Amino acid sequence: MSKDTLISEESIQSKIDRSMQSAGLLFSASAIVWLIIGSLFGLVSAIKLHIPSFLSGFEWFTYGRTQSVFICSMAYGWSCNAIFAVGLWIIARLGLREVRHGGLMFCGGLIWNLSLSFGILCILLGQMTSLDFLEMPGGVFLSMLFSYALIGISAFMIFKNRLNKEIYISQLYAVAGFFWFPWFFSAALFIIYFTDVRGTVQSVTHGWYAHNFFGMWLTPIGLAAAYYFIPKLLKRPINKYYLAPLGFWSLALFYSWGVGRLLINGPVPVWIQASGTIATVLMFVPALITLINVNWTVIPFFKQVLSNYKLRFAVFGAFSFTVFGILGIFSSTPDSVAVNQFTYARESLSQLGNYAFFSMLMFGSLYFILPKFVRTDWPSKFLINFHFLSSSIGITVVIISLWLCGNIQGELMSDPNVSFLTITEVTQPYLVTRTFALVLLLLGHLSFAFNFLKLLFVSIVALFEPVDSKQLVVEA
Amino acid sequence: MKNLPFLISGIFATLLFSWMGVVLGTQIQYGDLERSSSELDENGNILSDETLFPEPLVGLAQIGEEVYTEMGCSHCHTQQVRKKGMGSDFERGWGKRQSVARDYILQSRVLLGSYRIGQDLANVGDRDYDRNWHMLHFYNPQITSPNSNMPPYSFLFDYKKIKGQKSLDALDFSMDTSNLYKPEEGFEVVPTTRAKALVEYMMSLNQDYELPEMKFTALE
Repeated sequence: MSKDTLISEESIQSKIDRSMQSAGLLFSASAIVWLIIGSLFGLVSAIKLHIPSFLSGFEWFTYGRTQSVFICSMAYGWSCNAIFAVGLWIIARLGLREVRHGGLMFCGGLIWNLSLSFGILCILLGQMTSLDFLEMPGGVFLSMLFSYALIGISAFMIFKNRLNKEIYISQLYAVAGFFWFPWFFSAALFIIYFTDVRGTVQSVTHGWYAHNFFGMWLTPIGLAAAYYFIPKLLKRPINKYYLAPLGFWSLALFYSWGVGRLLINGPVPVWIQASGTIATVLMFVPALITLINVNWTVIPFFKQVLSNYKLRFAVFGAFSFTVFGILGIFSSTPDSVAVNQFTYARESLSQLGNYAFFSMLMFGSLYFILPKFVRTDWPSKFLINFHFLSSSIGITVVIISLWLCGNIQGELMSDPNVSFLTITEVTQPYLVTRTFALVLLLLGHLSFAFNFLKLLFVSIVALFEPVDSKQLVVEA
Repeated sequence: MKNLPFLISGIFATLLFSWMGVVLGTQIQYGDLERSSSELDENGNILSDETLFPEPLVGLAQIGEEVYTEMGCSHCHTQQVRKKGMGSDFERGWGKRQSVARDYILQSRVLLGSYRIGQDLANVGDRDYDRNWHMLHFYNPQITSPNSNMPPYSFLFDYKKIKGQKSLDALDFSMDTSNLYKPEEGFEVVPTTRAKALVEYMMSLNQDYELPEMKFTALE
């Protein structure tokens, strides 16, 4: 590449960063606010499981509602906003095309977050359904779907008008995610809220939605980030890159059939349960390919990972995806299902996917992207290190304690001679451990938020300084 | 991978494939399930002069189902009995048979649940708990089930001074041997309509009927 093209690419990149600035900052700030709200409610719910009288005098804060608020604010608040910021940025950067409709995206982001806030309020007031992830009223979801359209159309326009015609695997994952989400979101929304589908067809549709929410929305964007940031920060090409499209299409084809795994032994057709198990086992293809592509690229350069804070988050996330794949397969064998079904082990697996894989990758990505929006570097490295330590240790403790807890709970539940109250007592120490780990996670999230505020403050101050002192050092 | 329409169609089609299989397939297979008598006649038709199952909820129990939903009970309680051999659902007395799709066709929002932090409730109305037990259990689970981690729902009850005669529906605390939760002398605990509805809903929950596709499982 000649010097000229390098310079023009750099100027395009900074043009892209500037074009996404306002919308990107809105998404990121909302993501962080929802992350804090979600972790607070998650903590309250966790405490309630071993101190049931905690905050029990208030109807607003009964366990069923705090848990729903936790789920919705993490899913639609933290995860979706982080995806909007990171996913759109990756599509724009790889396509070498700046965002033309920043205002549209900004409006979309505003409506999304306002609707979500209203929906959370509805849950606290008891206007909720019994379906995880779909607890909020139908109107709220409709308005979120509308606001998503504004964001999704911008994503599509950036991709369609890209200058770099070569499609890299990250773009493929990200663009597919931005397509799949409105697809399954509107389909499930329409079927569950606006038709009179009855009985367990509702459960199947709801399961299909919740399963896709992770697999066809969080996973593709998480993998897009892994495939983008890890080779970029390591300055190494992806190992055996030619396998990557196979990984993508196998995820696309198999993942969303896995819904039956959640409904095993339930009042749904047996073929759904069987196809669920098969699809879950087939997930070893994308898991293995990600392992070969991403993790293999990292392993020889592990020292470099330790010294780079953005890489640490991303690599933690990428390795968690492999663990998630393996554990998912092992826990879907019939023997294991008989024990683990309906226990905390399920929550453990969900935390492994949602937090250890997806959220860690988003943290790494945001640590990379945010300085580019404001053209200032992170003010405190200490807070970033603290965030990484608390998040990685905290989530590991959460996952292990819930996994052990779930297995013990399942074993005891299978033994009819053990009373239910004994099971509750036996699980208590694990739940207490989980609570302590969640406090650690919350502290990490607070340090992230604080650092972000500082970053904004520093960049605003820089705006008012004389031009020649504006020496902005940002890593490319 | 440079052909945009091809790429987008591929992305669209993969999900369409699973939607048609999973969602549409289920709906076509049994989306139109109707209530049925326990036995069918020789032509496979419903016996119209017999009771049809599942029976709809009536009166307060209907409101109770809404209270159950708005309290988020299904975060901790399932309402589905697995087949014999899967866990110990039968041995624990949670049901006489496996739950089947037909059991749920009348629920406006299906309440299968996915965690058993608490017990399964598919047949709770068929078990040895009376209304007063449920009332005390909702008021404070520690009274009936010490060390349970179910939260108290005391906000569904009125704690008030007895005026003249004790209210007819005041809770009977004779089960509370610890004396920790009894109201003070001269006071009583009275359930609100929502508490009564929730208890009626509990009492109405049972799958104590056979269906053509599922008979009671023998317990040896």
